[in-house]
Amino acid sequence: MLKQLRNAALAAAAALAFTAPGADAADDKIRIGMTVSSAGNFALASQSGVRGVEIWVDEVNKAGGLEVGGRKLPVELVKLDDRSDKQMTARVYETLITDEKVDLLFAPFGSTLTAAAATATERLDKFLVIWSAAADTLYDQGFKNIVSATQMPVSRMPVASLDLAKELGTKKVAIVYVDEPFPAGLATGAEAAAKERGLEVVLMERYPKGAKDFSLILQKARASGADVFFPTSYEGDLISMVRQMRQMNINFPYTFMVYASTPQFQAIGEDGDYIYSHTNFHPTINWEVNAGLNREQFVEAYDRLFPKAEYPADFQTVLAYGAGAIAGEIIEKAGSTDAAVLKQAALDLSGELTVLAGPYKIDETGKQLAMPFPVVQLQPEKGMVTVWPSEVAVAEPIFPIPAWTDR
Amino acid sequence: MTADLLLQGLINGLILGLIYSLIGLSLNIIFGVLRVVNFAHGEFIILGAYAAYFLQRLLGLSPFLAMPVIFVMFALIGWALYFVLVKRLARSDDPETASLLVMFGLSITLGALMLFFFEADARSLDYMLEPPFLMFGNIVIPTTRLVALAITLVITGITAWFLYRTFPGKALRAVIMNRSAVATVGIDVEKLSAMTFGIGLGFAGVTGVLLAMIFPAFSPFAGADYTLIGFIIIVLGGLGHPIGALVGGLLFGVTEQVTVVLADNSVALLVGFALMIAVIFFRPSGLFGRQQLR
Repeated sequence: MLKQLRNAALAAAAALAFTAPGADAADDKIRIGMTVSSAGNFALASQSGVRGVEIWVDEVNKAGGLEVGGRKLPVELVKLDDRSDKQMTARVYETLITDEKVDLLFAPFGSTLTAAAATATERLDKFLVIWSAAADTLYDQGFKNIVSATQMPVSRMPVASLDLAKELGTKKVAIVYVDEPFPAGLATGAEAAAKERGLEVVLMERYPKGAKDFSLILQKARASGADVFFPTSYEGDLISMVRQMRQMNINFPYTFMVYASTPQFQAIGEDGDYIYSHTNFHPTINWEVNAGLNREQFVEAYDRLFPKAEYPADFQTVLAYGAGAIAGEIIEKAGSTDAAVLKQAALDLSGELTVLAGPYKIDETGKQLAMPFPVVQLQPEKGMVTVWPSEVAVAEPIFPIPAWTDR
Repeated sequence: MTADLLLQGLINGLILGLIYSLIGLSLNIIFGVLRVVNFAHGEFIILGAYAAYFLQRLLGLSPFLAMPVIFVMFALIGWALYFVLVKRLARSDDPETASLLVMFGLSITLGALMLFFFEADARSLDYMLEPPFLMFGNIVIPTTRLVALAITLVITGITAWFLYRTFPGKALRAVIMNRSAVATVGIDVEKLSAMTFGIGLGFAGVTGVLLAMIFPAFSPFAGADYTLIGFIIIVLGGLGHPIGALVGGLLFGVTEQVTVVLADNSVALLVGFALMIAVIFFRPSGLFGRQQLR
């Protein structure tokens, strides 16, 4: 950590020192600016993400660069520190644009910092590629030059799982959520998505953080006649719910739990069997990519470039890498780094690209409409396997989930 | 179906209320005898859950067998802690306030230590009773809850017998009523106090195992929630009154669970607090104030 801090400080100092002479270098390369959090709440996720961007830069430059206006231009990544600080982020993005003279920008990690960065890029009319901001509100603010290349908004995260629920012939959904921003956002999204698909929402039940007992909530869900049980809480509560479902013989044909894909949840063993969840990076998820590396090549590149990384690549790395691959296509299509031209190219490419993280599709606001988190199921013999959508499914969903008494 | 759910809520409330009352009981014994406001009670409860978790993981001990082991372990810790920490409080000008601050500090320290050693992930005891549940008409009751209820009743029974039928128990009640008078008749109040703190923490540990059995996931952060429940219960029942805790627990449990059925869980928490405020307002000494004890 200390070393990273020092490196970041050195990078920042070096960047400042060379600002003036380096400013007109834009002609023979494409300079991309972004911030990384050397410290603070977002440090871990931010550093996971930037590795993805670095893999993309390495891959592009090894191939001689991006083709812009008939010339191959290498890509240079200019990284500055934001220390997970919102105020600092806005200032540093200004520095990147006015002093560093970067051509376009990648967003920092998360909705909070991305919103701060977007105020700067909009004002100074630069294109911003987003890879991790999931708050729906970001896309409702009228920002013109933003594109979420890979991260779908919270409200759309339940879409794939409810598509599968519909496909399996379910009719009634019970949604349960802890009263916290992210789970509540997921629950509202699930409610809307269920209604869109003609599913009836028979229970929308909230509970406060710190609740320990779910037995009555579970019985209310059973009494509601739901065949889809859709709690959007964090791991601990989900573990309690599954155990109590078993203790009270409560069964739903389709139970989807957002965090059932985590190792922490799966540590509960066979009680977790048959539960549906979602994830976007798993050995059984292999999209037919037409831009950038596929999963195997990506893992190989990660190990080669970051042999000393403390963690393997995670979904942040995948999202950021995917955003890089899509940005490359957008730049080549636009043939320019003008924000409006890039945005138009981004819209033109909507629906045309599939990267490691999935298919790409945006609307006018730059909101990501595709990039579904594939649905996985914890199957007793096979472990966690992808069951939806069909492009990446490797197993048939086991439906209905067998009752506790039949296992 | 709502009638069934209501009945289910009522039964749930009675069972949970009795188990909650164990939190209040140990908290109340400690407060009654030592005038110590044990703000770290919830952390000791969670430590009890972790103790059961590790006894099972490392020695393969079932949570049921772990309970007596944990009681003895925590009682010894309590005994030692009395001499290290609690005894010194008596020298303060205002022991009650001092104890609140010291125990609040201890609560933060224990929470941080658990986070450091056990990490933030939720843990769960791995056990299952056969059959997992019993049906009474349309009412489902998990076997675990019935067993936990039985254990709670046994513990409460033993405590009542101890408090009302044995000499140390009677002495303990006497200290609650009048500490200096007990000292003048030649009872070693010091030894009695250490024993009380030991018993209090022993109960906290066992309560932790019971709670981990019926609420399957626990993490280092959950301690404060249980401390809060404990205080609501003893305020309802009467500070320092062992039987008051029982009534307070039942009242809180039933109110909470029935509200979950009629409204939702967020409202239930609100109603629990409203109940406490109402009791403070109309009967500041609790339903079983200190007057009734005499």
